[in-house]
Amino acid sequence: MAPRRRPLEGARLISLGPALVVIAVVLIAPTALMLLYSFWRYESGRITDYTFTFENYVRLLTDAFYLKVIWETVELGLVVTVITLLLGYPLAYFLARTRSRFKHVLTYLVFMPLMISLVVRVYGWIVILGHQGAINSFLVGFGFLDRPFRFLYTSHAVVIGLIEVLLPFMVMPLLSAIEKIDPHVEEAARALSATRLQTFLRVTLPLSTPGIISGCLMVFSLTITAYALPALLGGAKVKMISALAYDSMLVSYNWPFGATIGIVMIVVSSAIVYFYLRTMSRIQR
Amino acid sequence: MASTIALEAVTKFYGETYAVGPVDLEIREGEFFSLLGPSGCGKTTTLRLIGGFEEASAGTIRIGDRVVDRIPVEKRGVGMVFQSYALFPHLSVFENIAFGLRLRRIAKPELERRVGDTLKLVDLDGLAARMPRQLSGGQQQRAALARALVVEPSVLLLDEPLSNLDLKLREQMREEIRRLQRRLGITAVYVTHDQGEAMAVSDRTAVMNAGRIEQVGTPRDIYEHPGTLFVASFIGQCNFLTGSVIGQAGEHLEFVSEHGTRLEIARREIGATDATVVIRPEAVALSFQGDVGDVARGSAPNRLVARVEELVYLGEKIGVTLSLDLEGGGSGERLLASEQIFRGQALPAVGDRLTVEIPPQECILIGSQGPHGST
Repeated sequence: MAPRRRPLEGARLISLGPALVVIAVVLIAPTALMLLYSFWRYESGRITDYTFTFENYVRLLTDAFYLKVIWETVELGLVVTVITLLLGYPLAYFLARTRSRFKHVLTYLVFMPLMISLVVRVYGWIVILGHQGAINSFLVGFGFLDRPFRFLYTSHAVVIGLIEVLLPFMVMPLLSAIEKIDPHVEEAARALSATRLQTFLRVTLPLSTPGIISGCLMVFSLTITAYALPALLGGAKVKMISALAYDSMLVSYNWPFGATIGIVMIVVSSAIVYFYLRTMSRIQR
Repeated sequence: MASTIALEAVTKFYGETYAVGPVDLEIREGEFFSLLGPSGCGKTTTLRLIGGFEEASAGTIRIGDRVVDRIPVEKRGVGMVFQSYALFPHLSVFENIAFGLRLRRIAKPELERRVGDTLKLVDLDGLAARMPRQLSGGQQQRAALARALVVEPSVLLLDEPLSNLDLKLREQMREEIRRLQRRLGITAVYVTHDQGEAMAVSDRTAVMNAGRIEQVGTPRDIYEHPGTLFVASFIGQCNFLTGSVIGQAGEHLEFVSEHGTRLEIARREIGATDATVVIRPEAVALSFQGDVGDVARGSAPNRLVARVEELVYLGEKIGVTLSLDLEGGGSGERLLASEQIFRGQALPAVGDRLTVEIPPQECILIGSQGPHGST
């Protein structure tokens, strides 16, 4: 006899309804549309003549210029990820283990900047890094330099800006992972004669791996898809893949090519998420 | 291989907050010593001070001949078993136990032999490849024990290791721990809030309260000669009668309680007349046959009449709450008595009047003030 449908299942579907509609309208439909556009040929003036073609993909993935941009975007992602990891881990460890009564205040301070608009924060960096900015005024004013140093509109400025903005996204999963480690486990290692360094390498680090992976993936994805910050701090010289997508869509109106960039980025991000989930479930085993 | 442990005036503050001390303690080589007391009494803090997990605010700690105050945990050579076992979740049972040996760069054949021997010692043979989350509570406990013992420490510290186990397993494990400790001849310091557990396994116990040690002694010392009201009430059950010593009666002292009950009690020097007499429930002898009216009061010391207020059947014994009759009428103190009973024995009923007899040597005199001014 076929199992009867439990009365609650209908209710569950209905309660999921609105969310499903939103995702369908806002995510699935546009993505499908983008996919469609990426296979159409570009014609200036009309945007497209609706002929099917692979030329957008061929152009994006074989043209040296675009490959260079893709590579530099990935490189930026790796640099920012590594530096935020090196800065974020000690911070997360301190916050996780401190017994100070200011623990919650300090944790809040790490995340508070997220409440400020990204663009406002980026302008803050412009103020700090610009020719008349805080750093240059200090260096020139006190005679360390003759002329202001060019910080702004370089890839270094972009790196610094991204690190500062994305640090909370690294600290968050790390903090969560380290807090889950029973402090007694670390004490047990020390009772067995492990120095603090050995305890860290043999116990804390392996046990915080899920947090590390999570944080790195988050920072990496957010970096390679970043648009506003690289545009504002890097200027025209620093081109990232997201800027190329903007240029395509809104400057040259080459929607097919822009859509292709979008699809490629979705594929890359999805691959990252897939590998993350697979690694996590392997660790859980 | 076992060490002595000595604490001299050891005190611990967390910032402004008082935690423990001053504590003076001497633990002998190879002794099974427990720190017993209620939650928050400082017993775990004291244990952690010995292990080096906390730094003392004042005082000196010695392990063997070494003063260890400035020596960090990893160099003290003490083994530690935590209440939560604290096994390394990412390592197998074998690797957990081998952890300390690998740090000491022990060669592979010897390492495997020692881990294997220790696994057999704690009865975990065959579970070496399992992960900690695949073990039961009792097995995790034994793995934690094995991990601490395999490196042959001179001192073993245990922080309420059995609290998370059910009763039967607890009793079984405490015997195993005791057996292992004796066999290896290691000095063990054992923290627990369970007085029955402390009494069952310890050579000596320190009863702690509010950061201070109230009394140190063998289980029997502490049970039969409690030094303070706290110790008397924490170990076993007891009755308290507050009053004063008014004189001597031969080799006994005469005591009168607040409610006017007169007792002859065993002589004890406490340096005060205001005092409390402690009587264990099993010391209160009940006779519930015979006509109470016939009993000539005063024909035996501490023979009183009492009314049964409550009776609890506990299988091997009964717990009887009595209220003492006063000479001038009315009721005096309430006493809790416990009496072993036989199968089929007739029991008293609530409202019955019984004769109650308390041997003078079972009346323990304790000063109203504890040794540190606590009541």
